[in-house]
Amino acid sequence: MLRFVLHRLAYAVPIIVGVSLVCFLLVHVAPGDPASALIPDDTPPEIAAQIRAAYGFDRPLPIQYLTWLGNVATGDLGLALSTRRPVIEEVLPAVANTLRLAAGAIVLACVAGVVLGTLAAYRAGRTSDRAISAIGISGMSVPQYWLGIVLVIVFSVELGLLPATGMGHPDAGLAGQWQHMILPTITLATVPAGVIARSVRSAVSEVLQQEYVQALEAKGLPAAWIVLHVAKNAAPALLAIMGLQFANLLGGSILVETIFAWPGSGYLLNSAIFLRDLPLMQGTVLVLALFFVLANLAVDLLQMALDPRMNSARRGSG
Amino acid sequence: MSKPLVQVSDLRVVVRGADGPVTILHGVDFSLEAGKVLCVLGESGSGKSMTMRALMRLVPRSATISGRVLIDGVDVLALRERELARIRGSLVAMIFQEPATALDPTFTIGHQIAETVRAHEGASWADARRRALDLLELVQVPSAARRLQAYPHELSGGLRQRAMIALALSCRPKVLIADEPTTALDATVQIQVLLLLRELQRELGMATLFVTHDVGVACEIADEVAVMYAGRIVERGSTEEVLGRAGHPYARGLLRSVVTSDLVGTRLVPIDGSPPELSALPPGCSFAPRCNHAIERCSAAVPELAALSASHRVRCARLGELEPAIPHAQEVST
Ligand SMILES: Nc1ncnc2c1ncn2[C@@H]1O[C@H](COP(=O)(O)OP(=O)(O)O)[C@@H](O)[C@H]1O
Ligand SMILES: [Mg+2]
Repeated sequence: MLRFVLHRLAYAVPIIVGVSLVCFLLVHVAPGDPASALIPDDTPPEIAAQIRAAYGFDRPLPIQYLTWLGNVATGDLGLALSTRRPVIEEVLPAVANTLRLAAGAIVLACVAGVVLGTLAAYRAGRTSDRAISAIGISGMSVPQYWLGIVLVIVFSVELGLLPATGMGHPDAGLAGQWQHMILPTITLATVPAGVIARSVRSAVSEVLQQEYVQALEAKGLPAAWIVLHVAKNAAPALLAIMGLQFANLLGGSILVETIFAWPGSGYLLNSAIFLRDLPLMQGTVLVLALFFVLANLAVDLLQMALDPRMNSARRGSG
Repeated sequence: MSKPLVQVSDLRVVVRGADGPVTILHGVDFSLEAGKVLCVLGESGSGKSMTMRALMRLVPRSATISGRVLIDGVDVLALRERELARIRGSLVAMIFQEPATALDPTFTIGHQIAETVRAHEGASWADARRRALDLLELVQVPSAARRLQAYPHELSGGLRQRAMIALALSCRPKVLIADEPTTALDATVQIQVLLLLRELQRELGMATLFVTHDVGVACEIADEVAVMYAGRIVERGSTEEVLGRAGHPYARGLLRSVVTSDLVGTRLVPIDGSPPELSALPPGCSFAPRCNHAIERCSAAVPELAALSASHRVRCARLGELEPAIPHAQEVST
């Protein structure tokens, strides 16, 4: 077990290095060097060169990369050009806000997807199965900006039940902010809910066709206990899909966060691009990518913990 | 004669297929007394498994069962789901053909046995696990305590089938259904598992329905034999009657094909033709198209199960007209 965890962690290292390299180069392949955004056009060349030297832009790229990597490792992502504040201080709160929406959306999507998908699988071929499939497909194909705007019109403008934008007072905490989360969470959850419902349906109906389910019935287990067996068998495959959906949500949706003016990472990335704030962009992308890798790692480990076959295969070979 | 423990009459199963309903079982009748072993023989596709599953109402959702199944006085086909779950595993238990696919791969053997005990007897986990351990020892699984913690894939085929047997016996069923329990195993293991089953059956006195396509096995363990063809029992009776004086041409063919293959240098006599398509059975006797003795009358109506003796019944329109069965050895030497 520990061995597998270490093995899997070691596997994540080259991915993280690759991600960091891409983030680093992101800045350096952009036209002009990163300093040109800092240096006004009429700066005398000697001064410009001094500024470059001060930032280390005159050194060879590999050296710059290692220096940057060292800074990143200590949590120093540089200064945001637009606000002159450390990038890390811009990125972390934004990521935390996105995480909050993503967590809400994945819970909603999993609950809806699992309930609908399981129902559909148990009633395969009947009308309720077809109805659920239709709902799932609509969930996956409805455009988010359209849904977001419709929700705002209905619940904020017409009914006046929920706030349309923002996340409420910064110090209000979850208790004062949850109303702000509802509409963006629902908007974010529809696509993953549809995807999860479909996967649950196919995974569960595959398990239901297995002989051991009949054998469980043959030994007279109550239906609810059998559902537990089915769930445990379907879970490893489904976890991977749910984890991937969560990882997607972690990236933050530029579209949804912009519609609802939700100050998350997607919103931040959007402004960074607008302002051509390369260090901010770089930092945001790097942190998001790290989260993505970590989420995948967590899913893998969880999946292994749940699947005894995988578990003992490791034990056997290890 | 005591009252039979299992009484099946006019058992029919119809499956909704893509091209309309297909009748898989056309009225199966038999009965079995407590402590006796009935072997069900027949080619694959003849409906043996469907019959066994119908006894426990374990049929696909697209299937409808009719007729009457009485087990220990319980009208199985009339039970509600909850009552059905209560008798499954406790009054009637089933051993599946493929322990590799019939055990849940994600739970340990011990858990799977213990949960059955818990479901039926409300025992604590500790008590249920103790029972599971006793059962694994009963079915002679070596280092049973360690095997409780094993997942199905960690056991050999033979041990898995022993675990399956332990599971089936866990709540002391009065009726045991074993659907080709040794077919998936290696030849040497087959014999061991078979001997174990016979021993347990005698020790615990369970009425046993044993599906096999191995006449030798039937010879070893059966008190009674039923031969199925295309969803009907075509012959049944005591083991000596059916295996020694088979009346139905199909049953004779089945026995001949087996016995011949045991004898070196003699020609294997397979039954000509192939099993019929269930969705398009011929009128009259289903075996008529493959039968050497078929005459026009055979295709007129499905023959009744007629009595040859008090216990021996044969479903053949020409019963009594055909030459009496000769003991195999002589038949083979011709
Ligand atoms: N779920 C099902 N749906 C439709 N037909 C089935 C189903 N299960 C079995 N059958 C059909 O029922 C017939 C009898 O099958 P089975 O009882 O498994 O035969 P046996 O056990 O004697 O080999 C076969 O023709 C098979 O194709
Ligand atoms: Mg079968």
